Amino acid sequence: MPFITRNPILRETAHTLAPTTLLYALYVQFHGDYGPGGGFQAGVIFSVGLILYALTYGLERAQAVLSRRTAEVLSAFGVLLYALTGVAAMLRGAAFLDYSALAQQPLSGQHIGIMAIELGVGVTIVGVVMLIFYLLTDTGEAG
Amino acid sequence: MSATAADALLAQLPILLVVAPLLGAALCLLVRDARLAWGLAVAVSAAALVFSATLFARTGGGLVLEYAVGGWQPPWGIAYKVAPVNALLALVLGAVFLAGVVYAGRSFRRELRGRRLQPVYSALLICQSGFFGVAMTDDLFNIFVFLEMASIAGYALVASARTPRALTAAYRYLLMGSTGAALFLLGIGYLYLVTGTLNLSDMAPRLQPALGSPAVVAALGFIGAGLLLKAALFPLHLWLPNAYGYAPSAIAAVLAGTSTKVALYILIRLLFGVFDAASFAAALPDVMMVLAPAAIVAGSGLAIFQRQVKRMMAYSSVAQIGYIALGVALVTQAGLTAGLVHLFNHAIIKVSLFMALGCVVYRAGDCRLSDLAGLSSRMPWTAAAIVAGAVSLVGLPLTSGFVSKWYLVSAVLEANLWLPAFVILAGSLMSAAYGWRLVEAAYFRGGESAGGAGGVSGAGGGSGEGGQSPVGGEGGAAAEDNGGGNGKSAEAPPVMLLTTWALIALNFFVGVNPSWLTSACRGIAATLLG
Repeated sequence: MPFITRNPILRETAHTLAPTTLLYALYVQFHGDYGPGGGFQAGVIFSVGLILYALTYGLERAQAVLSRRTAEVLSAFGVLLYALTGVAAMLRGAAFLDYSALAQQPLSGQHIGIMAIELGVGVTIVGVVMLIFYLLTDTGEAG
Repeated sequence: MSATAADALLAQLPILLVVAPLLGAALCLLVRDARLAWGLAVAVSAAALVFSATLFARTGGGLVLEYAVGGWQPPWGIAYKVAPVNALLALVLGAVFLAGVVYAGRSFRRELRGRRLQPVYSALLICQSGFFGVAMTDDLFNIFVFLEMASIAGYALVASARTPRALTAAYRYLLMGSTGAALFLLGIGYLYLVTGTLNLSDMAPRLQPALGSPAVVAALGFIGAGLLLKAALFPLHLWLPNAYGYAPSAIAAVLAGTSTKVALYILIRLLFGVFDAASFAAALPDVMMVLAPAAIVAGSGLAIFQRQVKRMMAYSSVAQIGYIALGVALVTQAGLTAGLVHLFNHAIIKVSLFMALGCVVYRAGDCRLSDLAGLSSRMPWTAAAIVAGAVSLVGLPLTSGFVSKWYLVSAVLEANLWLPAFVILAGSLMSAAYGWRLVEAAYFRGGESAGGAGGVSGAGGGSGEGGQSPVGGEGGAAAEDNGGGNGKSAEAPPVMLLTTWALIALNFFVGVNPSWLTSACRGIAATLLG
């Protein structure tokens, strides 16, 4: 039995909510430039979905999905994505993070730019929140 | 063609100073080998020093570089603006971080044994990126964000030492630093409320008609308190001694040269660039005028009685911050010049001292006064480095400390303030007192403890032989003191000694040839005072 909780209400709720939460996070991520949302919110919601999974299925299974090392790599990867988007604009002769320079049309360049940096923010937030969660739940054997 | 390429690169330097360390920080976390992470950190820091030195040289010619991040023009967008004052801070940061990161390679491997070093290097680079951001940006809220970015990395860096004392020190640093940040942010909020802008160049003229309104008075109070807390001006220094004393040596060195200096830089920028320091905001310099001499006396006095030498140097920093604050509080051309000169000089002196102490920790495991016993024969180069640092703190001629004190005393006397002048001289005597305790322990207290320590160093020896050759250039005066020490010398690794002595060489270079620094500082002071 994969559940670590015996409470059937908690089990069934989490079972339904966790994947929905992850999906909703992706919605918030990719609609961030049309409506309320963006990388930070999406990253937090995504992590909440993962944490819900960890609370009901146990830490081991959660870490099988997203290991501590993966969380660390994600946190660094997001920063890289963000910064390199800015550097890409610089290489095209514009200022750092001037998205208009990223494509032929300034408007599509801005779309690409905002998508890329928001994705970077979201990925870093998932990595950092999960790292914090893993560190707080760490029993203290590992350094 | 190449000229335009160089110009294009020069225009991008302000943002590169922030982005390069940030990219390095992310890459450090990704690599598997700690040495590779170190190599990355060194490469990034070396590039940053080249960038900041270029900016210092170019702005010295009167050039002011402006940079609109994301192409958003000021005052709406975040603007970076590099004038000589920004470039001076960037130069200090670049020198301290490069030396600190190079030094950290061996020091971390000994002091942080068993810990994964990639996150530590990553935090060090985030700290660097944040401080460079403060130096480059012309946006007040951006200053806050960068300051916190660097500070939070700093708390983590202090906590990275493996001792419980370091954890409590880091926690106290966190609480007091965050309190300072919160006060600072409140003040920024009030300024934004009154002026509707966060761009510093835009804010100054808009604030002019509103000076004296209660909101601006509140802003001055909150910003002053917050930044003085971050700058650790006595009696707001309580986070500093333990944070520097128990942090890993390389971290203590880097933070001693950067964190309080950056807070003082922000204070100077706001006091002279935004508030009118001579009339409206005169209350803040008045408060500093009282606190600074108290800091000099209390810091030096407490330093004399410390047994743990890193804590002694931390209390000495409290006193030295007092010297800088005293210069600033005079609100005169000469005073501000002296404050800026000492901001540079103290960074170099104190970093080299903490590095020399880190060399002691590398061999002895700790650096209480008793660990220094017999140091002159065991680790002649380290002992000489400590003496060079102590002499500079006292301010003997030929050291950069002398230049600082000279400018400071003349500035104070020019303002007809005899009591502060007396305090400066008394502070020098007191720093001679604690400096002498180090010299006495290192040179005149050999005996039984030297034998015991020799056993320790014998176990960890092996890399001592390189200590003598690479530093040959600078230390003629040091060599005569320890002719007998070479045979059984158990020096710290050459790379640690080399970085320490590089800063000492810079220290003496400023002491012998101070005009480039003092003329730059005089120009900055003239600009700030309008």
